Amino acid sequence: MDDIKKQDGMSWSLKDFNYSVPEHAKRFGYTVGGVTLIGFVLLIISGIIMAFFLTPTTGQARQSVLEFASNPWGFWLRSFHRWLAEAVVFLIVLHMSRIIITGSYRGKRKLNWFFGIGLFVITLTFLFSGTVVKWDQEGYEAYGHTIESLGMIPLIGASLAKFIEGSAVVMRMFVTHAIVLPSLLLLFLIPHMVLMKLNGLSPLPGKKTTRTIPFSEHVKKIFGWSLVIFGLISFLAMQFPAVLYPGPFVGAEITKPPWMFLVLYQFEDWFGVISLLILPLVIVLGLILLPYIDSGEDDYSLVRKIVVWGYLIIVAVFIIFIIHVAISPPVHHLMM
Amino acid sequence: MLIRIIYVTLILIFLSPVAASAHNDKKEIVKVTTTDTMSPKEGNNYIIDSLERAEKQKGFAEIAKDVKESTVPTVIKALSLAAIIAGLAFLYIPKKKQS
Repeated sequence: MDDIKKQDGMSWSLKDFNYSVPEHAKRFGYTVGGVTLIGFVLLIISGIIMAFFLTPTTGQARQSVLEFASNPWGFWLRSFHRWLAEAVVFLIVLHMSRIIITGSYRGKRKLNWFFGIGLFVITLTFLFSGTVVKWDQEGYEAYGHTIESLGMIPLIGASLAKFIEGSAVVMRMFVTHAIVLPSLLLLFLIPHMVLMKLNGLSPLPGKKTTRTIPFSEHVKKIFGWSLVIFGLISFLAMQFPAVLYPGPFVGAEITKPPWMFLVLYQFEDWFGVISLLILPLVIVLGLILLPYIDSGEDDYSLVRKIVVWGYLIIVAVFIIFIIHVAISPPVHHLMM
Repeated sequence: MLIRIIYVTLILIFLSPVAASAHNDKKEIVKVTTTDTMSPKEGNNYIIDSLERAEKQKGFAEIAKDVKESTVPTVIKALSLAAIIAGLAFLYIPKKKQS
C-alpha cells in the first residue's frame, strides 16, 4: 500500500498522510472538531435517505414523514437524524469553547476562526430549516417566527418574508436544507480544514510542545470518540424518539424550539420578536471581534483572563435561561 | 495504466450515443402525463388517494407504540451498545510499545 508512488510514478505515498502532530492531539478537546465532521457525514447520509421519502409540500410533508416513520427502521433513522443534528450543535459549542479557552483564534488562526463562525451559523440554519420541512406544529411555529422577524429587517425584510411565505414554503425550506446549506457547508468546511492543516494544531496554552505522535493516532481517537458519542445518540434516538407534532394549527403556539434556541425564546419573552434578529447579530459580532479584542501572544494577560471568564459567565447565564424556559409553560409570541 | 483507463472511458463515453441509437425501436411518441409517472398503487386520482391514505394513516403515538412492540428497537439498541464498546476499546486498549 505504501508503494503507490512507485507504481504510477506519483510523488506521494500513504506514509505522507501519517505526519507528526503534537502529543496533545490525543486529548478529547482536540478531537471534537473531527468528531463533529463525522457527525456531519452521518447527517448527510441519513438526510439523503430521508429525502427520497419526503413530499415537500404543505399538504403532504407531515403525512410523508409519518409514512416513512411507519417502518421501524425509518422511525429510528428520522429520530437519529434529529438527535444527531442537536448533538452536532452541542459538539460545535464544545469545539468553540475549547478554542476560546485556549485562545486558538489569535494570530495566524484568525481567518480560520471566521470560517468556523460561518460554519456555526450554517449549522443553526440547518437545524431551523429541518424543523420547518416536516411541517408539523413545531415547524409551523418556527416558520411563523421567521416570517415575523424577517419582516422587521429594514429595506429587504418585507421582500424576503414574501419570498418565503405562502404555499411553497416547505419546498423552499427543503431546497435550502438539502441544496443551499450543504453547498455553503462545503464552501466553508474545505477552507476550514485546509487552513487547519496549514496552520497546524494550536498549542496548549503556556506550554511548549516538543513531543509528537503520528497523525493516525489522532484519527484513531477521533473514530473512537465518534463511535462512543454517535452510538449513544443512536441508543437515545430509539429510547426517546424525536416527536412529530400534530397540525399545524393556525393561531396556536404550543411548542418550544430545540434547546439551543431557548435562549432566544427567553429574550423574545422580554423584548418581543425583534430579539430574534438582534441577539444572533450581537453574538456573531462578538465572536467576530474576539480576535481583535484579544490579539496578544501572552497566554496569561489580563485581556485573556477577562475573555475566558466573560465567556464562562455568558455560557452559565445562557444555561440558566435554557433551563428556565424548558421548565416554564409555552408563551404566545406571534401576531398570527 | 491510469492513462489507458482514461482513454477507454473517453472512447466509451463517445460511443454511448451510437449504442443508444442501435436500440431505437420504432415506438409511438406519446406525451408523458401525470398519471404515467404515478405508481400503479396510486391509481388515477392522486388527490383522492392521498386523502384516503391520510384518513387511514395512524397517528405518531400509534406508530411509536407499534415500533416499540417490534424487534427493531432491541436490534438497534444492541448495535448502539456494540458501537459504544468498540469506541471505548479504540480509546482505551493500550497500544503495544514498539521496540
